Amino acid sequence: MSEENTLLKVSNLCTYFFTDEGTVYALDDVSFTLKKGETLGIVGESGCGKSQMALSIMRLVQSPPGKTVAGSIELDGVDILKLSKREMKKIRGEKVAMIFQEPMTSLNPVLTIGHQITESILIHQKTDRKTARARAVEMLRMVGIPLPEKHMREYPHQLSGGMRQRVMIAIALCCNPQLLICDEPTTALDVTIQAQILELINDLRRRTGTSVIMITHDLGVVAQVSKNVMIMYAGKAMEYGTVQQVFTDPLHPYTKALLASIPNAEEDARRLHVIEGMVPSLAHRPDGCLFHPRCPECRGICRRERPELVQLEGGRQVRCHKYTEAWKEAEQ
Amino acid sequence: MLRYTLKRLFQTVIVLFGVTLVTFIMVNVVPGDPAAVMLQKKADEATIERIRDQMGLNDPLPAQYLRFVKNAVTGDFGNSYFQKKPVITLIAKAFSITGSLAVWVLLFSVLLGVMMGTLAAVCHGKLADRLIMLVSTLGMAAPSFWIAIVLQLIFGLTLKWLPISGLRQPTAYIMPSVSLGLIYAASIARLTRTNILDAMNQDYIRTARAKGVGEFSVVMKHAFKNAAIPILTYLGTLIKSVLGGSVLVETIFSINGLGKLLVEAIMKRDIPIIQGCTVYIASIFVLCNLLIDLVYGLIDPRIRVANARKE
Amino acid sequence: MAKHKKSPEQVEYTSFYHDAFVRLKKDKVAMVCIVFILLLAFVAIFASFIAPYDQSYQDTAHVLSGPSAEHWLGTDEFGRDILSRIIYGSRISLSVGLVAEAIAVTIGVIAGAAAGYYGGIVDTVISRIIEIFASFPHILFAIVIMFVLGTGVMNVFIAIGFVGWTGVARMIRAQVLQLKEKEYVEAARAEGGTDLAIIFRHLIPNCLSTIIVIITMEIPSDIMYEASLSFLGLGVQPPEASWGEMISTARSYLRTNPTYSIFPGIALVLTVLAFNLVGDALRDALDPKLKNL
Repeated sequence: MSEENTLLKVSNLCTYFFTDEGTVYALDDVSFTLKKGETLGIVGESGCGKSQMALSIMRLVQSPPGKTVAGSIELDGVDILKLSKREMKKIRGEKVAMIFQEPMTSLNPVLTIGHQITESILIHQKTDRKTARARAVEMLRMVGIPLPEKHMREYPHQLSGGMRQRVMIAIALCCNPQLLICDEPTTALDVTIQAQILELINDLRRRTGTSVIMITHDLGVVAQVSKNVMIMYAGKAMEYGTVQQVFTDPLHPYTKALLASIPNAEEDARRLHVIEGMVPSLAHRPDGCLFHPRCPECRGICRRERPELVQLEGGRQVRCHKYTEAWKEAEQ
Repeated sequence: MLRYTLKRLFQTVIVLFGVTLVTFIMVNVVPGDPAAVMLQKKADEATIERIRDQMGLNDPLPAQYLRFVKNAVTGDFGNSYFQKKPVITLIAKAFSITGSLAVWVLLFSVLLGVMMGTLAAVCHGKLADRLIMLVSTLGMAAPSFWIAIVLQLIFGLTLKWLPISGLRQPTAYIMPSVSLGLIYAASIARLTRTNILDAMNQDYIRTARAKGVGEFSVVMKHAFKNAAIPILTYLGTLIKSVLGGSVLVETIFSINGLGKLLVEAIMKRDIPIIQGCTVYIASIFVLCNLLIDLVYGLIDPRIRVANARKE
Repeated sequence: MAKHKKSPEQVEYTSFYHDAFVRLKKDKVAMVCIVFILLLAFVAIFASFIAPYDQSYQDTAHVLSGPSAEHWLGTDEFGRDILSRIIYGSRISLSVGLVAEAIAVTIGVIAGAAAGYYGGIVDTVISRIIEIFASFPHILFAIVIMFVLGTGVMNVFIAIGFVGWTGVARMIRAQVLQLKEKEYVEAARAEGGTDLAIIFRHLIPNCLSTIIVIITMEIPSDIMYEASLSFLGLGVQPPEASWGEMISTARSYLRTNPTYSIFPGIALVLTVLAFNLVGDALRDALDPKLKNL
């Protein structure tokens, strides 16, 4: 694995929220790397910290109460956590761009589509208004919006949800970012539109060479677009591997449960698998493994000790006592 | 949009008719004979009867009302009982004074209020925010006529910086505008702060930040433009309140505006002036509201479409 | 069938008001203001025992004197004690809030509920009437009503109450429009409940929190209107003491006794402030969604 090929290296990232009810561990010791042009899927249930992952990389965590307290985020070898506010502003939109979950509310209702795209271009590129507009029209055409000149003058409420998400993608990609973070980009959309948007993101990634972080709760989405996948649970990375590895041979009991909960047409369709219990409150986390209260394979050690990330062959990682030497000894 | 405008115009006409009707009824249920008031008890019965006939007071009330509306449409509110001049001339003269005062009050309160409110929102939770909120809470509790007197005491009588009555020199506008505008500046500050804070929590602000928009632009362009809509709505109420509040301030600073004209007319029971002033002020408010409603559609694209759909 | 049939919204409401009360109790500023208002009410009720002098007692030896040991806040142009007159004046200021709001709420709730519930032509007519009455600046309308009714305390209350109903009607109308789509209202209608029964048993009780908030928010402006009318000489007439009337009289003696105009104003500001803050706190407590606004 050559270092030049690495775009993003997140190490031991911790983002906590200091609230009246206590410290909320939204992200706790998360590490991963992302190569240029690759897609990483981050999967987890609601409230597992995956959106805070995206905001931490953008350094847009709501503060107070939130704060990234430890770790580093190296983008092209530069730790962006050490950058000044002004330098960070240059990164946002130019090197790292983001698409949000709610296309209905993520666009400013009182500014035209054209204004919202050109604004980004004018901030990051030394260019005049006319060129910026031309670039914006080109972007709208690229994301598959018909009659882009007409839509430039329109307001967000005049477009459908799918169209607005296309506009969001156009805004995100207008400055050719190196990294595109998609936070549940298709959750709020109809199923048919979902597929179109994912196809569009995939297609644009191939054409522009942008790396993508795809954050979702939907394993199906990850299977469609990513190469690698990270499973998150309660602010911690539980499993990491290629999509192929994780989907065909899940190691962590949580991953297994997640995969089992996907409705499967071949199986008995009358029964839906659900994972018993709920994601623990990130302010009052259980002792030991964070998943142990819901884990079918839970043992004594799981209740007592926090598991470390276990490195396996093929670059896979899993955070479970099952794959440690101690467990294997106990089994014998 | 055209349909909406026409409908709004039609509503406005109905409301204006209602305003004249309410005013007419109120003024005409007052005990006492206008003719007797006008002649100030000096005349004998026959003279009063003659005057009543001349003034049309012996006609049935509906006929009197129709005549009142017919004349009011052309701006004719009759003659003052005592000043012997057409009411509309008196109103026009008084309104030019009240109007100039109102413009200063509006400028003062909107500028100060929006600035303070924005500042408080930007410094949310910090000392500046708390200080501004404290002052505006106090400001909302202080009646204009008392502030006017306190200002007169300090800047007029003690320091002798500002004239305590009239509007003869430009500096004379300061105390009336401040005393009347303070309460509105305070409520605009609170309104602005609330709406900017509200807008700052919206998803599109996060989008703007993610694009690399600077914090100044985030507040002043993305948040403020959204927050401006409720402030604009408040402007209608504000104009109404300023016209009402001018009654008090004009009395204190001896300004010969609409408010003073009305209060003096009430003291003397000069009915044509009372009628004229009331209808005139209410009409100004109604027309301002119409204007604001139409401008509203230009600023907020969502309203434009919603209206088009609703109609 | 059970004798005490509780409609679902009643059950919900007991705990709702309890929660609101708990939230309100946590608000220290609001509690201080409530204590202040209660104290003021106590002073107003027992004014004749608490006030050092009668409101019309004239100490001719001290006319227009500043604060002193005998007259803590000084005396007016007839040598009457200003503190005593402020204490007596609190009666007017507090009762105007109660009486005027009772009038405004009665008219406003009936008009608003009828407009919201019946809709159609009834709504159009009532809404237009509201709009007509709301076209007059409040203070100006109150002045004209005072002109019609003549001066006097009761007439002040009526004028201010009549001015305030449009705001109440608008808010109740909006609320009823939302409420009438709720399931329990439709259930009541399906059971054959009459319109009046539905309005009075289901809709108005559910508007109660809105009504409470309106009342506390409107009381301070009522107090201000009374003071303004009396200041203009159209409200409470001397020798009866009213804060507005006192400030008005004090204007003639700004040079001789400047503090004369200050003290009634401070009483007015503090009272309005206290009601404003309680109103804000009540709104927050009764409508948690609006918190931090």
